[in-house]
Amino acid sequence: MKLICDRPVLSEALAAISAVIVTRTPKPILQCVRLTADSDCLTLTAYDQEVGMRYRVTHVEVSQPGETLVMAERLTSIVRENTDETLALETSDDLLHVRGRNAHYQIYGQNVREFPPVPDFEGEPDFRVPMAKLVGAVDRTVFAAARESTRYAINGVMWEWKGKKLQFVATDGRRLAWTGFSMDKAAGSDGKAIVPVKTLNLLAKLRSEPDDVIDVKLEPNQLLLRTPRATISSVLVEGNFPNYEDVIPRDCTRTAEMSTQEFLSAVRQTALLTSEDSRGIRLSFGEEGLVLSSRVPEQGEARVQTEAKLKGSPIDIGFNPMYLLDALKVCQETVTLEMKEPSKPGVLRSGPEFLYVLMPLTLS
Amino acid sequence: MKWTDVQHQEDALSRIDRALRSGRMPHAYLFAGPDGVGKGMTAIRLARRLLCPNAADDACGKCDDCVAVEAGTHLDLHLIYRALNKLHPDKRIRDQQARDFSVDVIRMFVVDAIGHAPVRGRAKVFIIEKAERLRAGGGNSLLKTLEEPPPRSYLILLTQTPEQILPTIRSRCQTIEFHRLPDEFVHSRLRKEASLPEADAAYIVGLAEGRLGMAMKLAGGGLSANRQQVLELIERASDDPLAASREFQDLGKALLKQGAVSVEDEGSEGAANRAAQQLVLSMIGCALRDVLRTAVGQPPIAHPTDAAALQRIARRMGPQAISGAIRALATAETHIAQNVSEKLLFDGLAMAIEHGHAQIA
Repeated sequence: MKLICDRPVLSEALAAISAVIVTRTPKPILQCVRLTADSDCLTLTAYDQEVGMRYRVTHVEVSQPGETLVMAERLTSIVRENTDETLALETSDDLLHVRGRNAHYQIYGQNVREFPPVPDFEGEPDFRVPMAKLVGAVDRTVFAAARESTRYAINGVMWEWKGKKLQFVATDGRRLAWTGFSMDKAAGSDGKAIVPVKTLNLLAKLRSEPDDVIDVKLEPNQLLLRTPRATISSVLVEGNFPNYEDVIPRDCTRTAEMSTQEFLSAVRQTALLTSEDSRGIRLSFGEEGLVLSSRVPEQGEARVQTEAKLKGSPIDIGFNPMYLLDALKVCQETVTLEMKEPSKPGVLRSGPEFLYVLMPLTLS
Repeated sequence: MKWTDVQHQEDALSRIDRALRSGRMPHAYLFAGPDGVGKGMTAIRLARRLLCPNAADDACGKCDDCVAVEAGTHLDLHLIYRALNKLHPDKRIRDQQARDFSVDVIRMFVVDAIGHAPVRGRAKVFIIEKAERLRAGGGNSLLKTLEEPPPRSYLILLTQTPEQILPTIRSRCQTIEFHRLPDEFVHSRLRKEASLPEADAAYIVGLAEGRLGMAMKLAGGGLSANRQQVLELIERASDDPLAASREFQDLGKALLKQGAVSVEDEGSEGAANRAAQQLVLSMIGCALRDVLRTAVGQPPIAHPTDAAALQRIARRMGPQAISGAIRALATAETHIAQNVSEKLLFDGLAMAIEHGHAQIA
């Protein structure tokens, strides 16, 4: 392999791909980045056990195609610290030479064959969606996904696409977050996939331009995501996602409408007097609005009043404030809370695109 | 790497082979048997057969998957050991001492990882070393997964002390037993791969007691000088047992220093100390065995070149003292596992060599 490349562009590419590379792994080879030079471009690939990334660098002049595998951290810092406009990369036997105007580095390469191949995005995508929209949808659901549960299927966010409709659902058994919207163009083929939380966190970290569009394609074992610069391949979570539509109550008889900011602040204030043992807060909806109260035995009580427009008869219901806050943080200006009985789940809605089902706590 | 690399474990291999062919692979195996007889080798080779897309009687050995398994880089092959806590993102967990498998290690590296579909699409294999260390916390967090792992996932637990495995874990696995290897086989492999002089090879075979892995480890430990030292100490024990005991204890430390036992292999300094004492006991046992053989007119096995010394000791001790000392040695071996003080242990043993009966705490 022999090539000359634009240093700032390579530096940016290495920074992006470093997001995949974990510092601690039982397989040290995963701390490497693979460089593959074709006739007109340089592809960087990296893997973090479950998520792989390919990043294309086009500002290169390749005089001899080839590939090598080197420790990512070393190469990244060399390229970052250098101040030249361009760098020359060349392999000889096991060595990668990096040459600047006044600097020459030799890095020991490793066996490329032992590095797991990262699949490429081939063919037409199943659907395309603006990056910002996708990241927003992930933000509105990922917090509700279970972590390290032995009910494997809920350790991720379910993506479902059908015609023009795209929706995302996550649950941990005590709450469920749903978001969905219409795409401009119908999906090529319908499908669904449970995407691990790790992949979604990576997606949120990925740098993007305001009008970037992301292509999505489901393969038998992988979900492939393609941005203008990078391709991400992610494993899928095994199992069948629970039938979430049955969980969403349709027969609520009471509806309260609140300003998100005020409600959030009131929940935060009330949550100050909760503990491991008495985690719940009481929400009392009545004609004067909403009164939130909480109590820690032998320590004290809290009572906070805020505005709420209630339709239906008064009700007292208990919730875990942390679960309420998680959802309120991603809500638009106003929220509605639909309830049936103190022992039935509540439904928090904000705009047409967000819905959150929350199990109540028994009030003593 | 070949499926048939593992030798003299025909029963174990053919049971696994039958399961593979019938397409009814159990999702959890417990490989039980002494260390160094092929459990780990079999586990890796089984993993390779499960992960290779062209596998017939064995994995093809040429595809990307086979190359990655051999290089230890396959994304669907997970090796699970106690010290994985050092790779946990949480610093508090990294700083813990890994005596047993912690809940966090099992949750992060097994329970969470097994829930994802195989990266390469065929299967996921988890090999759990020293499964007897799955105690209350780590063990219980694995039960649900062992009972009902997701499709296409296989767990292989390795242990040398199956009786210490939690019953809840044992009942969820199919047990495959691995046995000690014939001495001739260990001997021929040792001569071939470690190129040792005959006298040393015979000694190491005697010490390894059918564990090839142990023999290979000892081959690099420079034990030939220690062999004569142990004979001298046994002779000395008849005159001054307490001085001999002190030297047995020093020998343990010396073995650690000369690398016959390494802290790295054993996981901690305490474990390495115990392993070194264990090795000293094995060396004494090996010597006493040949002393006994000499006493009854049989040729020595592990000390072919030390006949004169063996004769002297045999005459001096007499048959009763020899068998008494061997019994005391067996007691000492159980005590070492129970953390009995090193001094008491070797004092008792040296006195038993002197008098011919066990006088141990």
